[in-house]
Amino acid sequence: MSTPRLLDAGIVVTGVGPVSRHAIGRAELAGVATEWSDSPARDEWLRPLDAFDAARRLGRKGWRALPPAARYAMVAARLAGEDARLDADLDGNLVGVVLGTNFAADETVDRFDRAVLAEGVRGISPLEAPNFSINVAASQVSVDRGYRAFNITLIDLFTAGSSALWTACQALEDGRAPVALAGAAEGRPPRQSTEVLAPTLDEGAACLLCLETTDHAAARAARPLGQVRAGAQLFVPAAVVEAPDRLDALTHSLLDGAVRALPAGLSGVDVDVVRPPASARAEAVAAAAIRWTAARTDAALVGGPDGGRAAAQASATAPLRLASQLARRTTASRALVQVVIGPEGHLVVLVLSPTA
Amino acid sequence: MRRRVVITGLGPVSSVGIGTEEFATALQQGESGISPISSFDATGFPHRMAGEVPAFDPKQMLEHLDPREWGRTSLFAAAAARLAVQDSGIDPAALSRARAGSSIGTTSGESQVIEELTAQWVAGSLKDLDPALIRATPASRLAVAVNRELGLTGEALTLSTACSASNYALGHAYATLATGEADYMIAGGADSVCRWAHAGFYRLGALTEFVCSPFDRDRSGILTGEGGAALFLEPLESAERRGARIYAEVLGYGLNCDASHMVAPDPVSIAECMRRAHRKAGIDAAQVDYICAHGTGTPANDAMETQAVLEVFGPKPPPISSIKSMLGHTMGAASGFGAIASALGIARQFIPPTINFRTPDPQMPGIDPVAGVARPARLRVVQNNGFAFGGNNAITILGEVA
Amino acid sequence: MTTAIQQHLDEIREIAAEVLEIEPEEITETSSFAEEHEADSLRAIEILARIEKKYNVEIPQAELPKMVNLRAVYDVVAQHAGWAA
Repeated sequence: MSTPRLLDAGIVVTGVGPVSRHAIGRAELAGVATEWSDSPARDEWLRPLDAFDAARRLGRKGWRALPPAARYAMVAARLAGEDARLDADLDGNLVGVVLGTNFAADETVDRFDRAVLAEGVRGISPLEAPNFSINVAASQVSVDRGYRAFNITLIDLFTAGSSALWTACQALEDGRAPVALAGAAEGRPPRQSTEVLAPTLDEGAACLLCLETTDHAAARAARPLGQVRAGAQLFVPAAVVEAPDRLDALTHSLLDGAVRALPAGLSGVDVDVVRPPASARAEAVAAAAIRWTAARTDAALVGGPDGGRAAAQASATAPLRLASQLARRTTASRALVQVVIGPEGHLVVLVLSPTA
Repeated sequence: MRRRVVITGLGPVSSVGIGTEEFATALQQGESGISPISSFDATGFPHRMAGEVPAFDPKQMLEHLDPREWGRTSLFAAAAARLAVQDSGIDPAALSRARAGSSIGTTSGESQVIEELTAQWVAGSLKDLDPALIRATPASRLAVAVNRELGLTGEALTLSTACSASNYALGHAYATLATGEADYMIAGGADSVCRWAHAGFYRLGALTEFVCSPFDRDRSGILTGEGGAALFLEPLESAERRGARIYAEVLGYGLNCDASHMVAPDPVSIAECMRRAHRKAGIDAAQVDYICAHGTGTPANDAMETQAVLEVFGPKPPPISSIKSMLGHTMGAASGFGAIASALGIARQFIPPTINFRTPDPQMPGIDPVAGVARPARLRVVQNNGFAFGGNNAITILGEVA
Repeated sequence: MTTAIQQHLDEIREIAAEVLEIEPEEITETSSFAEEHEADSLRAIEILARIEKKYNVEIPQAELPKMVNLRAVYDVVAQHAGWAA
């Protein structure tokens, strides 16, 4: 069992940095309407990220020896910082980085291993050798931006980006820094991931959010897109998934506890249930969250009657959906609850309120 | 109100011993876990030694997981977690009903599974790939393996901040317990010796040939190692209530990032991380009785680490030793083994040694590496260093329960 | 200068430029890799590794400190590859 943690220190989202085949940057993201339900394309399992031009975004040098996921993460971080209007001279000791990823190193590792088999250790390029370490994407964001407060990488097939957002909130609340860039970055997935995520996957994506303590945001007159009020992460074992009453007891008490962190006077709660189309296990947990939503008169599902399944950007999917809703929100009176469910049993809940 | 957090169970699955007693004895006697590589065919590799755990028999150690469905690294993590829970004396059934979770660190995840898939691919084609292997690939299965083995419903977080990942995991678990989000946590890390990581470190010029000799003038690099390290954590109050044996208290942890270079450590940044760790733990540098070093044995790491230590502690720093001299570099598990060694040192009053140390380095004056065998000492406060690729520094501070 | 030497110099210049992410023309025979072209130790090892591969020679890492500019790299490679001076 788990209980949600309600945040004492106010933490606000002050910027978003999306990099995906749908949209690069907040303006493009706000213009994309209902992209976050996957429509499986039968003839392709991997969709290219054509719109991304590393040289245009990152300049002439410094990125060529880096894997694509690191490049996407660096651009997403720059975009989030610009969107939040972070001062370019901001002391790097005040900013931390938390990134979820699965596929930042897969391509490199695969290539290295084949080269070692074919021609021995000489097959590996020394300059690229550090890229076998999956934290290369988060580390390069810090190197690029000079963000030194902390730098954390999490892995989970689907929930890592949301875990990263929550871990960043915990670190801010713990006083480790007043600002964090958090989210996910993914490189090219191995083909077998289609079996647990979605029939069609994207070649890459990233989405970072700029999180800030309310004090820090207020001091620099930032314009928050929303305030994080509570969160939780837990693991739903198979035995619980198979027993709908136990599953409801677990998820409903968790969600009830989480929305208790919301301030009074809101007109309702939008619930975004994010889960991969290829996972029956995740679908069962999603059904419990949807039942919770249906039982509340003030709650509505984001993305249609079943909430829409999406996983093409792996662990970046949920942060992209969150960013897209924050970028588009017009009514300042409804809360947003994101329930992110992975194929192995991971469950992450984030509760946001509009800011006054 | 933050709760105090203590370590009440240890689960080392290492090249020098499996379980608390074997591991403690090996640390005290300064045993080496280095042997010729058997995990992969190292013929033709310039360097062929590593710290493998040939004695690891997951079938014997695990109660719920079927070893055929999991990769070696997940099995290391789950077996270490099972050991830590046994060592803590807690009732496993009560544990699985409680608010309990895991945070597990790694560098390379299921590296051997990936390697086997590549070999199958190269030898055949996509359709020849073993589906069981494919399912075992995701590195995020490490924490999942721990939760499944122990039936835990709290979070199952896999951290992959490379070679300091266990310290991030330990810090995260500590914070989760301190704030009341969970009541029990398993923290640690796991990695397996594999072909591509071995080759990668060789290519970086970081791999030595036979012997890892941290802090020695003639040190020439790391040896890769493997294993699983797990610690069982709970609030002090809960440990006292159930009359548990307490190894040590987690006093706090410090994190930062060099933000300068993927592989070149930055002593100024490392010194800052030490100060942060002290501040967060509420201690002064002068209170630290022993530093469990990152101590990889590369010329650069040990020089930079020493420089940072001298800057923070002055010309007479406390003893600083590297258990990597015995285990090799166990990557994501390394600072987990460091934490276990530190907790054992506190509980049993000894400083783990640096083996293979012969000649002091004139560039590193004032360093006492505790050469050869363990030294008896009462340790009130211990600093456990973890640094990583990408300049990801994480330092945990453990102490006697006062 | 003989054409063989010039050709080797040009080839090595090409390798160094690619590793240092700059145009070959920016590298003179004596421009410092570290100070003028922002080379770090990793990029230096990369240059060495690519040269080893291209000319199928073995150059010990101990030679790295000497390889500070194009001319110096050429001299080290020439010695190990047995190119006539």
